[in-house]
Amino acid sequence: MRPSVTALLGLGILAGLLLIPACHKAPRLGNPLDGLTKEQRDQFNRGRIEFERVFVPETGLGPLFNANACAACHESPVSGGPGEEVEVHATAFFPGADPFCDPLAEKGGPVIQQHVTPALKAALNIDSEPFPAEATGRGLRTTPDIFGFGLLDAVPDATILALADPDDRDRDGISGRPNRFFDGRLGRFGRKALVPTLREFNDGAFPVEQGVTDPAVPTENTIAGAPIPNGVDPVPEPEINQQAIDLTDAFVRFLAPPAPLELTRERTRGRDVFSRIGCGRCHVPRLKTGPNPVKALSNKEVAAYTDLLLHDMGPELADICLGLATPSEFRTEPLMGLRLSEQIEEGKPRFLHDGRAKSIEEAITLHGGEAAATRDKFRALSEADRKALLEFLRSL
Amino acid sequence: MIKTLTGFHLRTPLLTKLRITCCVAAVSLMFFSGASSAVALSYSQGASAAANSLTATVAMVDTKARSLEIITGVGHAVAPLQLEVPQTCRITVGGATRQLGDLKRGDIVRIQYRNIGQRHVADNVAIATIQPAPRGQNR
Repeated sequence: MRPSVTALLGLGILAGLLLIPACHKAPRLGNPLDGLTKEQRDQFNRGRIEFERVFVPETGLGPLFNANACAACHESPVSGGPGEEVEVHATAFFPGADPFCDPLAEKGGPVIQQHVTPALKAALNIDSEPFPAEATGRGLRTTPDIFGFGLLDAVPDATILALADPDDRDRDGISGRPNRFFDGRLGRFGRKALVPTLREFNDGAFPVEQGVTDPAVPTENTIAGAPIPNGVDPVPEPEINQQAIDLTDAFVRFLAPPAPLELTRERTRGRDVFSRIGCGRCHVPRLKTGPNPVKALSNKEVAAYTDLLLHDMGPELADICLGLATPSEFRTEPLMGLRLSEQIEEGKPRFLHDGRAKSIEEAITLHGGEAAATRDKFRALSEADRKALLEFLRSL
Repeated sequence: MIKTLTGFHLRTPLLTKLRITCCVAAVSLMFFSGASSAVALSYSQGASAAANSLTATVAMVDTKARSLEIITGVGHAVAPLQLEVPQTCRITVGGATRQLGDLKRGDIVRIQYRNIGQRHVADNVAIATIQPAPRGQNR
């Protein structure tokens, strides 16, 4: 008996409905974005090897460094995740009619490395880069996760600038403004939104974090401004080649954002509370990427929960300046992947830029400045609403 | 057993087979339609790639020594650069001539310079943008 056209059509529709979720299942944590080409997936997989590559002094590590591999910090629960490590930054802020932020580059700033190679230790008898006496601020920086950063990189400048309201013209008490790199380009990466592109962030991270020079930064860090003693750094510059940095960049760029957990009834309530008390004015739930040569990054929505702008967070959180950011101004931290920081061992630095908050709830209550009104609304929430909001945040 | 959107129940192996078939078909379609061909990565590079030309922030101006220190870098790898500014160096804002003393720290400048041995000698300094004052005072 031949099947009828209607039966075949019905089976086809059924198969389609069944297969939609299978083909669009969100990538697992640490996996690449959906929609990459075979070549891009290959770059991602080879890039992971570079990201996890452990350096030693004989392969370029140091002489000053914070860690011996990208994945030594961005590690939990998989490569690209947050970590326990906290680094030290230093800058000097000069307030006045023409405020100016000195990144103390001539003194080894703004990142003050916390480890030295045995050769440098033998030469100078130091255990870390000396903290510059000229600094007016000292900032501690936890290790964030970097999932979905390729999508953040692909958000057009115009989208970010459209969210800015530096003079608070809408009088909502929120006045985000953009930071600028030293050449005037819009910044977006880093806790102070100094760095314009993911590529530059990655290029700069090898020499700054591992003391590994690359083609974009072919000179070693100074030791608090002083040249490196002879014989301490025997590896010729650059210590990694262009291919290695390109692959590392591909790994970071193609890491998928963490898929949020299922939106339960309580989390839905929490999401509504998030919106109602004003969290979303800075932690903008969704940004959209622009046209991009990488199809998987092109015209995509990313649930980043950030506006990538600077906001005044009040004097209690203030530490260093950077670029145009004053000591109390910080970029809105993306909340995608927030739950991963909760998985860091209790007692270790977990929340806020410096890890001072032990829980999400404490992090919210430490918000000040532009966020003070929303913080107060959080404090005034009913127990059920507060619980729902926290449950929602733990699902991101 | 898995309940589908249409209310039917299917045994998992069949569902798995259907899913695999669909994914294989989708991948094959992409492959044969050329969607998997290489897409060249295009990264936005820094604006200061030219060897003797860069845009940076003024960190210090010494009118007596006729020197300038600027801040540049890649990501958080920030680097200072000291430049000599001879009398012959052309300093401009929007095409109008200015003096070295008109520069102030925080200005963003476009600089053309030459390397002479270990020295860097500026030929042209154009104030690209007068930096908008950061909001607030050390809050």
